[in-house]
Amino acid sequence: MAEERLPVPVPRRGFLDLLSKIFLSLWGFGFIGVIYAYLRPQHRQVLLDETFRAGSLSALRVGDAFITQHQSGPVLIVRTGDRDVIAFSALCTHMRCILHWAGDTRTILCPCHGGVFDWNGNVLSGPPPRPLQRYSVEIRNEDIFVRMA
Amino acid sequence: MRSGPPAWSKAIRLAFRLLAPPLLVPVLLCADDTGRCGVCHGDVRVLFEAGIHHKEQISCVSCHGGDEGSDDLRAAHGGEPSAPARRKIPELCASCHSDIGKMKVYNLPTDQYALYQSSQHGIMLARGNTDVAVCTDCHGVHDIYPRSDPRSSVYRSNIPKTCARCHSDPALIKKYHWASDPYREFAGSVHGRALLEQGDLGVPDCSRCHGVHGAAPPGVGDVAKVCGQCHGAAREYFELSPHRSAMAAAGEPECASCHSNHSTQPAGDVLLGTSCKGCHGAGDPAMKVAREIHDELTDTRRQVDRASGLIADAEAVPLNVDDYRARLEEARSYLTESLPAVHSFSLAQVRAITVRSRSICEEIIREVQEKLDGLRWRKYGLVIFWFYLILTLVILTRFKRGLGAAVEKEETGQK
Amino acid sequence: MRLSPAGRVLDWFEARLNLTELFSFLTSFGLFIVELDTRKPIREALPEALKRPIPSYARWPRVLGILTLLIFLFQVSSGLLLAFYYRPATPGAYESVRTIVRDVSLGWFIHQMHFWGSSALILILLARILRHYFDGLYRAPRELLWVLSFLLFIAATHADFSGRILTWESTTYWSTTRALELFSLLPFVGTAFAFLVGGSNIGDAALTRFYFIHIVFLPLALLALFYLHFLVVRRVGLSPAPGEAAQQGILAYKRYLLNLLIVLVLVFGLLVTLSVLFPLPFDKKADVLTTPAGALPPWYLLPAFGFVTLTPHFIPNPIKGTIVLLTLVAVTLLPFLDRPAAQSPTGRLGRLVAGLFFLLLLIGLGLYGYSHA
Repeated sequence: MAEERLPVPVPRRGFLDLLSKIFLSLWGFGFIGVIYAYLRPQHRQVLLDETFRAGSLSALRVGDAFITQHQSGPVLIVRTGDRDVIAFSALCTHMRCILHWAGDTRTILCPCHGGVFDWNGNVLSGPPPRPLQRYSVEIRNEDIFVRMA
Repeated sequence: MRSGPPAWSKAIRLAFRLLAPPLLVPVLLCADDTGRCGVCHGDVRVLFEAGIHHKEQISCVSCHGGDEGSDDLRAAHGGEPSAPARRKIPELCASCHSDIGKMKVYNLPTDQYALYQSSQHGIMLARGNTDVAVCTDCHGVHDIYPRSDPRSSVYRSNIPKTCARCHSDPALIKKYHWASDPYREFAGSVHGRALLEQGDLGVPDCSRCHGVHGAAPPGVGDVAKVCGQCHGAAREYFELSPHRSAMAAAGEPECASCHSNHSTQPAGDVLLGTSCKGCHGAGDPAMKVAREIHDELTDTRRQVDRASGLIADAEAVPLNVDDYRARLEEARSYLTESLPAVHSFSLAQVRAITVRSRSICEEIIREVQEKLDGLRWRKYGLVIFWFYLILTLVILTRFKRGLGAAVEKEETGQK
Repeated sequence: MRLSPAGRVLDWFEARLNLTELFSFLTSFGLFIVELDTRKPIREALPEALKRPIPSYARWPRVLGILTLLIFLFQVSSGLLLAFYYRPATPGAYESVRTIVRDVSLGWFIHQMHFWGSSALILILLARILRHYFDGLYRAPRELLWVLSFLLFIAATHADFSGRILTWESTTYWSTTRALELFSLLPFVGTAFAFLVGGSNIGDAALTRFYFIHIVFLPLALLALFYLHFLVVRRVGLSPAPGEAAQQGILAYKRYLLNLLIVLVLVFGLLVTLSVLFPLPFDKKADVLTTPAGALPPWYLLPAFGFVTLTPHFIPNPIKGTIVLLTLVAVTLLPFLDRPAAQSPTGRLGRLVAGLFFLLLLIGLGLYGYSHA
């Protein structure tokens, strides 16, 4: 090889030199490994997922509601009309208890201190100081999408 | 006060009467709907014109009688003493406020006078006691504002102070042997702090429990009903508990026995340990139940705090723990839900709820701790990296040394 | 002579391109400070250059210059990696950085290395400037070297400064805001800077401009400065310490390169260690409406910050700014302000005292600024 004839004429140490060079080349592999691990397409959706699919419209009758989980907390989805769906944070504005949907009276109940909200999120009675926080909803192809803003 | 005006006062009035007509001509020309009363009673006029009655075209004579158009002193006052007697005031106000025809347009209820007559205040007034509150004591005399106006003395957050004018008056407390100063107690209570300091209009003022015009202290059996209007879940559990019948039998006011009446304290874990002692002796098995419930709640709260602390630690790194935040919210919700269940005084009922909170917390703690432990690998990696790095340095210096020798050999060879 | 396949490929290119010339041009950006004999093919020219004797004083302080270039290249590559995930917009910047440091595997490592690398670059440039000053190396024929070194330092601090805001965290956001208050005091430069970043308060527009300045404008400026800098180094040679100049070369150039590698490995090891053991904490998202207490400007601005807070209030701010600016200009033009008499032993002592005094003054002002933020 051409490089062999360059300086560093250390006799009988050729093998050790070769070993050293192989060892040093590990740096290159290390760098490539780090860059590969970093740039590899990630398995889960790691970028912003503000909008999520909460369910399908056909599975929800008008005047009915359900609670679904999102990373940032439970979300209550109410279908108020044919194409009208409202989404609330399902946390009571009083002590952050998780609310229940009372289908027979079409109200939202807090199990902790008896707060009652109507299906527009307004306080009907009890201790909650504010109406429920609303999220915007979009309906695309019979699917309900909620935007957590 | 007006019983004996001094002689100089009479002299001034006389002088005024003689001089007034020529002087007052310009003033009278400007005098408007308060009539001519405001010419002399300027200070009252200012108060009255700010209030709601002035806006609704009620004038001085509606209450005081007399003739507001006259500038003759005697004719103007109608020969009557100007201030209505205290005893007559409720009747006077009721002459309009109980008239359905008049009140209809304002959408005001007309039963207040009837309610007042049924109240402790009304009953005692009928007996001739004029220490009690009449309409003007609470609503103001001339400067009466609607209830929704924050300037009004009967605005929600002003009510405690208004009641306190009499009920915290040391002279009256002494005279009627009242047990305590309710305003001071209320101001230090959980309700009082929320209403008076934070302006939270959702909490009860005096009238929410005692009634408004029908003011009366709630009776022994009614306390749970009054408190239960807001604390519904607590009441439901209480109805099922052994305390319900035992307290009724012993004639104890249900909620107030433990939580006190005016100085209501937040239902903390502490209360559970201390307030039982009033009835239950130290060796009573009921005390053991209380202690168990207390321990159950503090344990659960500690678990929730630990889980929340771990999540905060992980977020500071940062690690992705968004899913655990939602789960923690659930655990916290169960903990809050379990607090009213304490009123059942059954460990099983409380535990049925707290066990959910605890199992969620345990799961969070286990999994987040696992994630945090995973960070150790960064340090292990660093140790391996340094091992590799030192070996690299050794090799490089070896190269360098070999090189140095070679070059020097070459140099000397050339020489 | 039998040739290896690699040698044959090299020869194929050699017949069509002057590889030696190409190599010489590319290495003008540093790394190879020895002149190449461009008439020879690269396979002969390189070993010949590697064996060429260079002054024996080319020991480790002399590798700092090339080290800065290597760190700069490292910053460019780690920055490129970060740009794969970064989004320069106000709803999104913070979230994308969080994605990098939290969700992408080894993203935290790249991010921390980029941060510590930037501090290392500034510190090594500073160390070089101090060495040049105390060894009196800024005088002829190295005046231009001094000016370029100092401009490199200024450009590197700007690169660090413009990079801080990009994460849109609470601490860095307010740190930058405090620093911009300082910038706005500088006459001319302040207005020019405010003009460039799109106003004195930092919003969406400023973020985009900072991003552009950080990833295009300043790297190009740095690259140009490095190029000029190493052209000058090739011309005037490595800088000797006093008394070393007389010794002549007994060392091969290859040895110099090995020295460089050793220092590079050590610095890299230090950066990795700092990144793992002392990571810059990742703060909450910046809230534009609430200023947290104790927001400090970046450390290299602390002396100027301390100066502005320490001097009495009746001095108008533009005058304070002018003093800071004039100091920077004076330091840049130091070789032309210094009298030739400073060559004498008493002159050297004077320079030493003046330098130490100025250094202590900067540190004192910096500490004052740190405690009075």
